[in-house]
Amino acid sequence: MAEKKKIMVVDDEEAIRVLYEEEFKDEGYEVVSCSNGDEALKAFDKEKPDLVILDIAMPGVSGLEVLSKIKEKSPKTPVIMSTAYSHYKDDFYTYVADAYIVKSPDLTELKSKVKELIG
Amino acid sequence: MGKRYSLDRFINIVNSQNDLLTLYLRGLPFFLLACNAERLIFFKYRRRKQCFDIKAGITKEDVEVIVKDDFEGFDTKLLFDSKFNRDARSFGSSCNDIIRSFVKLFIDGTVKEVKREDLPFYKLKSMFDGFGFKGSALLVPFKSRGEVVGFMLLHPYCDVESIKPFVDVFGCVLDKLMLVKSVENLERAVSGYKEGCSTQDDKIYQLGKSAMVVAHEMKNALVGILGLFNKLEEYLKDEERAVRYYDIIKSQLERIYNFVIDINRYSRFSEAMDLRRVDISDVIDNAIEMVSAFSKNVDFSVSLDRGELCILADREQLQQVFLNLFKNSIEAGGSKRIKIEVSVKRKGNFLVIRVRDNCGGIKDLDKLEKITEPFFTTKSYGTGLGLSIVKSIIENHKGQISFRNVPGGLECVIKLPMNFVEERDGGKEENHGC
Repeated sequence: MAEKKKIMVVDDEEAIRVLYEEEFKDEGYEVVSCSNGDEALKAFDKEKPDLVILDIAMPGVSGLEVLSKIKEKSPKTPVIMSTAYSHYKDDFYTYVADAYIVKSPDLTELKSKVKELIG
Repeated sequence: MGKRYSLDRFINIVNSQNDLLTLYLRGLPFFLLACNAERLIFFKYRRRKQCFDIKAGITKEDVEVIVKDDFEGFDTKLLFDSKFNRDARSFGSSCNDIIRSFVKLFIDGTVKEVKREDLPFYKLKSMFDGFGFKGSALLVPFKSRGEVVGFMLLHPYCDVESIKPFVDVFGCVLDKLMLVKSVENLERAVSGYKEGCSTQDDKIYQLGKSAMVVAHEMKNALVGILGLFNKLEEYLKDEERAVRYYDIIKSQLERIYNFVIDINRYSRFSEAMDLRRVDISDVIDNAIEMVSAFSKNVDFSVSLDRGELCILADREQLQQVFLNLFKNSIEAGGSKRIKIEVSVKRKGNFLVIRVRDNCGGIKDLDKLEKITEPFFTTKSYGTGLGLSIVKSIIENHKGQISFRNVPGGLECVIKLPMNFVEERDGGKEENHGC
C-alpha cells in the first residue's frame, strides 16, 4: 500500500483544526496539526509534510512569516493559505503560496485544491 | 502598435530565460511582477504546461484581446492556464501607495538597484524577503513607446542585457493590458477616491469598523462549528427527534453565519474598488442567473437602451447591488409569483437604472425613508444590511439611489455616472468601449 500523504494544518482555532483533521483523515491523508506559528516551524522539520494548510492571522509568529520560512526551507512543499476573508489575496506576500482559500464550513474548494497539489 | 511575435518565439524567449529567473528567485514559483500606474500583475510561468498563470490584475477577456492583436497563432488555451484566476482582482485602490512609490522610482525609466531599506512599505520588504533577495535587487522597467509600463524585480547579479528580448516583449504586452496608462490618471483616481471616502458618515464608518472586528471573530468560530456540524449529520441517521433538532440548529447557525458575512461585506465595501470598464447588461445577466439558480419563483424582464452601456465601475460590487435588490424583492414577495423589471437608459453621461417589483412596496413612508439605514429591516429575519450595502456601493461610484412606491410594488432608481473619475474632473466625455 502506498504511503499516506501527510498534511500539516496550522490554525489557532481548535474547531477548525479538528474539522480539517477529521475531514482529511476521512479522505485518506495523514494529518498533523499545530496551533501557532512557532510550533508549526518546529514541527515542519520533524514531520516533513507533503502539504501545509496555513492560517494567516495567528497570535505570535504570523502565517505570512511561517509561509516565508517554510518556502525558504523547502520551496517545493505546497502551501495553501486559508484565512477568514479574501483581502489577503491582495497581499504580495501571499503570492508566494501555492493556493489561497477563504475559510468556509464547506470544504469542497479546499479539498479540491489539496487534491490538485498533492493528489 | 508593437512588434508582432509568434507563439514559438515568445515561448522560446521565456524558456531560455526561465532557468535564469527561477534561479534568481530561489526556486520560488514566482516569475514576474509587472505594474503600471493602475495595476499589478504576477505572472507565473509553468514550464511543463508552457502556460502562464496570471495571479491578479486582469481578466481572461483582457488577455484574449491582447493575444489576438499581438501574437500570431496564439492559442489562449495553450498559453494561459485553463484554471485562470477568475476572481482576479486589481490592486487599483488597495495598493495605490505601493504602486505610486514604484512609479516614482521609475520616473526616469532606467534600471536601478534598490536596497531592502529603501523600500517604503512593510509589504514590499516582505515581498523582497519572500522572493529570497538578500539586501538588494534590480528593478528593471518595461517600456513601450518610450513610456514605462511595468517593471520586474531581479537578483542584482542578473545580466540585464541577456533578458532584454524578454523585457521588450513584456513591455509591449503590458502596454496592451493596461487600461489606464499614465501616472496622471492614477493620481487623479486616487485623490478623487479619497475625497469620496471622506464625505462618508463617520459614525457609520466607525460602526462598520467595529462590526468588522466582531464579524471576523465570529466567522472564525462559526466556520469550525458549522463544518463540524455538517459532519455530525452522518451520525444522526435514524433518530427522528435528533434530526429535527439538528435541522433547526443548523438553520440558525447558517443564519448567524450569513449575518456575519453581510456585516463584513458592508464594512469592507468602502475600502477597495477594482475599477474597470464594465458592461452593465452583463452584470445584470449574471445577477439574474445567480438569483434564478436558487429562486424559481421569479420572472425577470430586462429592457436596455441601445448602444453603449459601459461604465467605469467595480464589477463585483455592481453585481452585489443587483443581487441584493433582487433578494430584497424575493424576500418581500413571499410565496407569490414575483415579477422584477429592470430597465437601463442612458441620459447624457449617466445611466439610469430602474429595478421594479410587484411585491407590495412599503406603505409606511417613515419606513421607506429608512430602508437604506444599516440594520433597519421590515422582515422578521435578515440583517438589515442588504440595502445599506447597495447604497454605499452606489455612493462609492458617485451615483444616487432612491426608492419609491409604485402601483403594486417598490421601485429603486439608480443614477450612475458612466465615468465617475472624469465626471468629477469636469465631465470630460471619452468613449473607451468595454
